[in-house]
Amino acid sequence: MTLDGASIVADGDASLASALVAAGQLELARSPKFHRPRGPSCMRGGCDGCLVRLDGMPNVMSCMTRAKPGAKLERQNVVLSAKLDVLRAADWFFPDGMNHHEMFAGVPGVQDIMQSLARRVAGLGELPEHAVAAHTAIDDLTADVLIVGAGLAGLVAACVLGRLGLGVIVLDEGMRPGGSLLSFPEHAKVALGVDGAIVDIDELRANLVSEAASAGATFVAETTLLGVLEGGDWLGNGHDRGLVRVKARARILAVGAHDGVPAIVANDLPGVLSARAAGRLLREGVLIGDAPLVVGDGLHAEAFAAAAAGHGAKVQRASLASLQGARGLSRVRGAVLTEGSGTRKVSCDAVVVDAPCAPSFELAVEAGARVTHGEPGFSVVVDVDGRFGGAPSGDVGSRNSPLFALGEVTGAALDHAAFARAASRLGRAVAALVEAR
Amino acid sequence: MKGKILACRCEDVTLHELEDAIARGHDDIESLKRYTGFGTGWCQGKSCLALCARVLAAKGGDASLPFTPRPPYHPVSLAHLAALVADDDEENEDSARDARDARDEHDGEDAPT
Ligand code: FES
Repeated sequence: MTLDGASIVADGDASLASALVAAGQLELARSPKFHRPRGPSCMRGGCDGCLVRLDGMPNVMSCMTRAKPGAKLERQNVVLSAKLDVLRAADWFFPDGMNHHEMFAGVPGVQDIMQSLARRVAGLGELPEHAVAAHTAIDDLTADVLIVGAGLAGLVAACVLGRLGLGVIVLDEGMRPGGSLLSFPEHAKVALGVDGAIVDIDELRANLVSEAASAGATFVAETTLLGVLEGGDWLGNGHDRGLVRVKARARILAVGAHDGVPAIVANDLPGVLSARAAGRLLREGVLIGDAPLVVGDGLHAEAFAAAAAGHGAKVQRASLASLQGARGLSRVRGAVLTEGSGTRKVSCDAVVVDAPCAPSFELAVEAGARVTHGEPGFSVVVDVDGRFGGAPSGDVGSRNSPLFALGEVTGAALDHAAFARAASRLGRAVAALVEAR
Repeated sequence: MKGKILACRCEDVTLHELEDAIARGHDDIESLKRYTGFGTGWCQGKSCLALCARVLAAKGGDASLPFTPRPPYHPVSLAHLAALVADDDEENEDSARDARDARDEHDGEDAPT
């Protein structure tokens, strides 16, 4: 492949983003106002860090796109050059941020100049080189039960529901089923056995996937849920294929959670990334740093720290509360930690953060769910069977609501035993619902 | 430690701006979003909403409700979305044909012999 004309060599079925990081290309884009450098931070389609222009198409999320031979990649939003973006000056001019309500507004003449400048530099990418043919058909899928998300919760639910004899479709945006299980490094040993035992993450994943498949579940990969259509069907987008409309009697949201983002200095610096992103990169063969600072003590931090050390990295650890910020001009060169009543500088080439994840509540709320706010974010409120909303009043657990949620989206921690217990209750409720119709 | 803390990285909204807006009275999620623009960028709040809600709650604001999530929840090209329009047209054609058929039948009955 090429990036801005320079050649990039990738192997295996890596994502574009991991191929770029492997080639040392961490600074992929610039931010809209301050033109601060940006790099991949989540590796799961939830940030702005990995956008590139691919073969003349702007705004391709490189973490969710397979690397392919001959791909022509270009950086976006760069003025002058990637290394020296002149508009970065804005970052130094406005140390606290820009209040666009007050800046140059209402000053005759100046306002117009500022607006035309803003129009030129704002926005993401430039229009495609070629017109793209409009799609004319929607793929219609029908099942007893639709499960959205093929992570731990979705897989557990697919096994339970499949065994009950229900027709199950599992929609997932990843290239293969696994969700955040794939954010652990390969063969990581994690306390995610159904009895809390330490298991090999890939054996666990493979077992669940094959159990679900032999119970009759159908997996639809690289397809992201977009929203609820008039009439109640759910609309998804197959990344290469186009729109997918799913009719199902019961729907289960097992969409997991977004990365937790710490409020630390330079939290947007390339090289600051979530432990899940670092784990996924390592799974794709890329160690994010030779001397990473791993922050936090969640499952993903532990697994990444162990695997990185196994790959010969000089791993340093710190607590989430002690992390003040990252240092470096265009990528991580160090970090600052609280120590006693002062601070301590450490040098490192990546800051890998495991902060509590924020449930992905969006689709549930559109479908009528209630959420509660807590430290990690907004969680979907479910009743004992896992039902949420669905009634016009938005009542939780309205008896005939065909809408359910399971796993991290409900605010639960990643816990196989707890998910399995919840899934068996949910299974009974779903089976009763499908039979009643 | 000096330097920017980004509350919303897609729209370059700093923590300082967020706190300033809260101090100006934008002390619920929806008004805070409208004033600062957080959550309105590429990721639509996936990476920033939880952080901003946490900051707001810590400052005594009302973080009980998120801003209204609006589909699509993941970027989708207009070329893909065009299929919805084609699908609607087909449905409209079907119902137009039904209406025409119904009218023809009706006309048939009433037609002078
Ligand atoms: S969206 Fe690709 S790295 Fe976050």
